Amino acid sequence: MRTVLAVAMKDLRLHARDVRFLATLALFSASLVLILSVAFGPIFSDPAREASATLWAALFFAGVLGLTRSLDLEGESGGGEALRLTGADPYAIYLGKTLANLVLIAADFLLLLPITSIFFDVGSLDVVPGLLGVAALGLVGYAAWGTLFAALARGLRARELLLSVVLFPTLVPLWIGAVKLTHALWGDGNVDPVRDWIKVLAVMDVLGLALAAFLYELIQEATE
Amino acid sequence: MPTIPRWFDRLGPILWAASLALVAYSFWLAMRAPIEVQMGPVQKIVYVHVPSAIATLIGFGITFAASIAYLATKEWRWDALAASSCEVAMVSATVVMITGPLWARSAWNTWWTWEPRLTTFLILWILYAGYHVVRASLRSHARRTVSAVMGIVFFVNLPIVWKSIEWWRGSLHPKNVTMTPEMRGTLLVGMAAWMLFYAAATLQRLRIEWRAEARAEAGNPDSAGAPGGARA
Amino acid sequence: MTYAVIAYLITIALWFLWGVATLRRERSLRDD
Repeated sequence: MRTVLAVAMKDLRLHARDVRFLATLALFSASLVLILSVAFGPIFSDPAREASATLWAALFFAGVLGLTRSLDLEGESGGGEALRLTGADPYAIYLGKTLANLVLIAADFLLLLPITSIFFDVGSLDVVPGLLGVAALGLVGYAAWGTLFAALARGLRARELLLSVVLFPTLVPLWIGAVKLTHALWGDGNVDPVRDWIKVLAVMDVLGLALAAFLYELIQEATE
Repeated sequence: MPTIPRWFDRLGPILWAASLALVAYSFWLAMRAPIEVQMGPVQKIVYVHVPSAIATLIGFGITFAASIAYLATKEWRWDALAASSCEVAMVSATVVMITGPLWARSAWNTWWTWEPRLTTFLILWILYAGYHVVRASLRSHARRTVSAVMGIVFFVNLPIVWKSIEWWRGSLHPKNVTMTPEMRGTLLVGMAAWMLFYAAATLQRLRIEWRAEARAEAGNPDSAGAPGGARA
Repeated sequence: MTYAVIAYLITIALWFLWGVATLRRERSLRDD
């Protein structure tokens, strides 16, 4: 457990040192929201639907940058090898990295939520808890699978592209669920008709974390 | 130094001969099969579309199993099987993705309908195309392990993707088209033909893995585990 | 009718192309 937190803190500290990157990430995701709202606007035919798709699209794309970045940072400082040499449990390392990635994309979510809400003129304060819940489920899955796949693409020249190519199709169930739930919350606020998707998100989360338990160590060794 | 075993060498042409003959026979049967009442002659695409779809899934399943075997044993032959089956399944998937819309266009006057099976296949196609691209970008040891991980992870997620798309869209795919016994017979021959063809193709692709491995052991380690993709 | 014919032709063409590429690939690996 301590390893998990230690690794997460290390990763986050590395990110925090590069403020320019964080700012770029924020701007990139915000501009995605902007572009899509302009594309759908100025009069939105179904604001709740368009807004939820926009929010999650922006998160998914921006998230890829964050995922590959953490591995790059590690490579630069030689931290990856050092980490392995400490003999720490690889799964703990994975969980730490996942946690760091989760924090990063959660921060992005907190930034994009109000922006999207405002641009599309949807939502109200009462659905915020629900939205946070959906975000938690969705982003945990994103971070879990994303960290696993990012390790596969580590060091490759076109890693962001490759990561997107394999991550996005895999996460389709998560994507659909997140958008549907967000749409319901921003629409009539009633999640009941789409509550099955909560199960889907949960399954994706568990599956991602479970697969990593078996496979992360192997990937780590192979791509050193 | 691994050389292609003789039984393998001999099995290849036999399989090819048998499968090509059976495929030709199935085409002939398809031509003679009764024309389906609602959709007309276009329905005959089913005799190549359905077997290809099933072959694709079995192929990725073999990749899945072989990937597990590789991770368990580190034996290069398992990786060879995984990659070969995956490549052949890709071609098969492409056939599905092309014949499907052709059928849809004639039957329902639209190229694409987001109906669950075709959509899932599209996702599969993109995913496993990624498998091959990633595989081609890596060097030997990493290539095999990473490929194995992909082979496992992509397949495990498949049922969830399938179900999700179904929930998302609702099923439009013709469930069981009314088939006369004659049609069913034709379809069965088609299945047998394409399964055999698939085996022949996989064996053929495996030869490349053998050669690559032989080369690698002869002193060029980076080429071990032939990169995926026919054009690699 | 034509669509069915096109479908079958494309199927044959795809596998043929793959076959040729695979054979050539093997040949280049063999000639060392």
